[in-house]
Amino acid sequence: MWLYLLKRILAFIPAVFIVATLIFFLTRVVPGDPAWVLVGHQLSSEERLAEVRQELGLDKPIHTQYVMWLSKAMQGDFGTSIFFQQPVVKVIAQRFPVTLSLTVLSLLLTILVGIPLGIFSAIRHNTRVDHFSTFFSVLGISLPSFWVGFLLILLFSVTLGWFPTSGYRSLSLGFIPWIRHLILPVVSLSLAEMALLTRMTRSSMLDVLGRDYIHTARAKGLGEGRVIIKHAFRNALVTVVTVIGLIFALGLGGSVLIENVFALPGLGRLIVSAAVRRDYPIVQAGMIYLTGVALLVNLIVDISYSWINPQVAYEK
Amino acid sequence: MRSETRRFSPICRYLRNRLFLTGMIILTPMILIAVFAPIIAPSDPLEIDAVNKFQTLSREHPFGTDEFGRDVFSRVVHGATISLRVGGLTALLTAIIGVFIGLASGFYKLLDAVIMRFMDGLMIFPGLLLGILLMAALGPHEFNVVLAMTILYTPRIVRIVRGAVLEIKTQDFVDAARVIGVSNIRILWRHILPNCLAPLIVQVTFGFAWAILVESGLSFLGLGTPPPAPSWGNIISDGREFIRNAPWLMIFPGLMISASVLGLNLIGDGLRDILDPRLRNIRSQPESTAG
Amino acid sequence: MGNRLGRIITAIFFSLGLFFLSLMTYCSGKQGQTEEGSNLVGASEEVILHVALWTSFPTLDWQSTVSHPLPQAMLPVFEGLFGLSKDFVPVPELVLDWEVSEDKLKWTFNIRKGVKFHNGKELTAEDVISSLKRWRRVSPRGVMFNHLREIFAEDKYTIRMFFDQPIGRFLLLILAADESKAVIMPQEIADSSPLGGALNEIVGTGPYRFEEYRTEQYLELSRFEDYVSRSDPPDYHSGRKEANFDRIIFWIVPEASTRVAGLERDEYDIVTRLPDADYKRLLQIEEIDPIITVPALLDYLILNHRKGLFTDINMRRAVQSAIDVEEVSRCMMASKEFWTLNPSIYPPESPYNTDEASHYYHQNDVAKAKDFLRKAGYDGEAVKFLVLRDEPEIYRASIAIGEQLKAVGIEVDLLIYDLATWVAKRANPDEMDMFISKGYWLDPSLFHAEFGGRFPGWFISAETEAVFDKLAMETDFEKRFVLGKELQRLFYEKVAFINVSYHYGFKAKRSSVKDPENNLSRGNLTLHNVRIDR
Repeated sequence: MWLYLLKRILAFIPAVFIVATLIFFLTRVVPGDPAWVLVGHQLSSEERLAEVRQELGLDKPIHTQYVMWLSKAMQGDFGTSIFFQQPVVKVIAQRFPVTLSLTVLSLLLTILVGIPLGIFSAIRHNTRVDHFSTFFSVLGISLPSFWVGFLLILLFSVTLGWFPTSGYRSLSLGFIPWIRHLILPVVSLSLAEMALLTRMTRSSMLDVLGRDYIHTARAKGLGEGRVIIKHAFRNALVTVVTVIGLIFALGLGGSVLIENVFALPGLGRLIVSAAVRRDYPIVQAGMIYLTGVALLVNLIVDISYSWINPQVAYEK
Repeated sequence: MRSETRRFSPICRYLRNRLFLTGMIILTPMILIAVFAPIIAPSDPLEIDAVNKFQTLSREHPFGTDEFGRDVFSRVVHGATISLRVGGLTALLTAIIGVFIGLASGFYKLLDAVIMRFMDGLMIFPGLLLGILLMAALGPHEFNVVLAMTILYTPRIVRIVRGAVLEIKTQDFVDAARVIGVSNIRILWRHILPNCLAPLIVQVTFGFAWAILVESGLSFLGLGTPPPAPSWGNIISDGREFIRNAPWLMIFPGLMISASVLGLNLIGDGLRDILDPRLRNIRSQPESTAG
Repeated sequence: MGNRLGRIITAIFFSLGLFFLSLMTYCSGKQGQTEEGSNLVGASEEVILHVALWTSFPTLDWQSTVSHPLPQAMLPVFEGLFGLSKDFVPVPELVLDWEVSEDKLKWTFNIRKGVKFHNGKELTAEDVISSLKRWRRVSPRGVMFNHLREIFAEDKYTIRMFFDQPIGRFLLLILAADESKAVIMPQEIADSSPLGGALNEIVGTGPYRFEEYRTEQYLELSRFEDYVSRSDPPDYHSGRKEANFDRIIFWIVPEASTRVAGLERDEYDIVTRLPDADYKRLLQIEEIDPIITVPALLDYLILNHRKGLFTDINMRRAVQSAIDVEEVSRCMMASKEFWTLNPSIYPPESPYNTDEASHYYHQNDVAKAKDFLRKAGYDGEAVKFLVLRDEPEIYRASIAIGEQLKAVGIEVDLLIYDLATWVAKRANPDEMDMFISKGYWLDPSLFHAEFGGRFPGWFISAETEAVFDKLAMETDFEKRFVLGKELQRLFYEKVAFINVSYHYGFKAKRSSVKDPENNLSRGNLTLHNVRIDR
């Protein structure tokens, strides 16, 4: 087990390295010069620009920049944001709670709705409920989340005035303002996730329910509830956990549209605006950070397999 | 029931699948609109008529007019051409590139390690964010959108194809062919490729749907098909400022996106059921723009 | 299948639904008491002004940047030697009085005594000198000080400036302009922050002090209790200033629709940069006062004078003849209240506004444009039109102009970019043929910065340079007015740029916000003397 963990963590290193390298060069082939963005756009002289470039280390050849950046990044120093004039780590730390709140809440909602709905429609296979949930799950993944967000704003904020149209209040300012600002974004973000989880839960439950040991369990006279929860769902859980892990990881990056619609100061929007401003350090660190979280979630999912099903071997 | 189905010709088999049929019913008009856009659209989607801006729905302008007085109906109709072209092209490109890489990776063990590392690296990225960076790097052009999305989606095709190859490779007829002395290329082409077609077609259909969603998302962020081209994402993006005054600017293109993606997803589901019921779990990656 | 299980699951569903429903209703209760009250926790009797801005600040260093909305947030914090009056002319702010020598080479400024910085220090001549030296170095407009030979303190409250060339009242305008303003800060801060964009500390002399900035969330100011006000009547930037709020919070709200909704829900007291499409609707709401702001912004098309198609005067004339200003304006703005037709390069609010050479304006003459194209021997080469997507008005104007140029037979490539790419591309003569920008020039001399060969477009001519030289020395308004007319005529004849519209800004406030001097309808935000009557 520990050996396996160690192996997995070591396997991170090349992945993160590839990601870091790719991001570094991707940001540098983009036209546009952070020096321009920084020193006002008008009347700046060439000398002034050169001065700023030197200050930012942009005057050095790109491979030198890369080596410098990489060696610093390995020590956890991602540099200073060109735009915010603050350590990148600090800027990201300010934004991450927003994205995390959004992702965790929508994951929660997704699980609360997706799993019961999936189980239910598997049990009631080919009934009206099942058809409804199947249709819902196809529809859910077909609607553009940002458009759903606008429809929700139109209905719940503009017309009914129940929720703020957008913006964010941090949890430290109280639970109610926090959740009020997050409900609509969470619903629009989790619609597709719910649909996906419902679908996956349903199909893996159907799969398991057709197996022999379920019939055996039933034949033994176990209550239907016990059969479903203890035997069937437990076995379907491997798939479900995989999907949950995926949803979480993808939600972290994918919330960028929703953050944009609802003007949430999250990590996704930070990265997009940083890309627009050519704030390289932020883009690089932000992407690496998100990738790291995604890898971590992957690992947790893998480990949880053994908890769900001790037979899963660690050798692969 | 089952024995009855067998008597129908293949086409009927497709049409008897409710998912596939519904999907086709939704998608066919979309395709027709996209192909015949210049005939269907009553006016030029770019023509400015500043005096008649923000007209609500009327017989003359079924979907109203926008902030330039352009006819939204014509724009949405022409948007179908763009969205389906971009989505279709992406699906096609990913299929071609994905098959090549996937076959190579599944067949040649040495290549496999390198390719899959790289593909995994690409897959780890939060998809939309990578798309944004790619678009910023490539510059605003319709083909660049296709290119960026192809880079994002190809790994999924590669995985499917590679998986299928690995499975088929162990089967007897491949060994038999090899024993007879059939060349590798021929084995790949004649024996292995046809056998991975089913999952490939299904995945490419989902890819098509995914591409339409992602294109609209990129356009919405201002990084997709460059305006003034009336792509659906662009129309929504331009209309967001007027959500209170002219909600039709964003409602109609959104409906069109949803309908075409829904149609494609249903077709994908239907195809999966028809072609290979074992593939029920093919959609192991979320296809929505949220991913 | 067991019906019991079905019932259990149904029950779970119902309770879940109920839970969310109750959560939703609970949360959607009138938010007034929780929303802003608990925001940035403070005593409940505090008077807080909530302002919504449209974007965040690239830097808090006002001296170094012309970008908005920094002036909006920094006007309450900083003061300069001069400020702008109601009529947009320079009036003394930190300066008590000044004099100029006959040859206009030597200027003397006496500053007010007893003015306190937010850190408790008293304002002295040394602070002014360090601040102005820093401004000269970091400001994009610092070049206007090129002929400053020497600046020194005569005594604790007197500053002298010597110039190589005569300089007129224009100097005062340089010191008063509120973009990249020459604000005064303590000497030690000015000296220890040599780089533009990196100010060590935000310390000014204004009625509000800087508290905190959370990137892309909010910027907070609090009342400066030791503020020393002028005693003359309030006059836009200057005059008597009262700080009527305990705190001012500038919220960063990039979505226009969010700002509008926040205003309607009383989350914000003042909201900036609204889409004018909302004007008529907001006008109907009793608790809201829409505000149209002056001066009008000139939207102008800049052509590349250094390289490519538009080095040919006939090509420039072709574009000039093709533009239909009215159509462009209609596309840019949703309501008629927000644009105006005016042939001058000086906004209608400027005393220099004139209709000199107006036959070049708003011609909308397709035949004439085609004629010029023929003269130029135009062969259908595509024009590289750089379009900035981030500003909706500019973006719409560009699209409209693109269509108008196509109509006369000019091939146009609309190249739509984000700000960074746009800025980089427009600075490169090979990658730019035209782009749209906006601004206002209340005084003819101010044009020199953009149309003296340095700004993208790189327009420069001997005749206009001569006019600028005369303007720099002239102090008499009548004579300056004549020179201003001449400048306008020359700009039109040489097609230095093309006026494509004049549009007004749009803000709104809750009607509980009282603005006795009507300052909110001018330029940026001037929040002193504004108060709230609840």
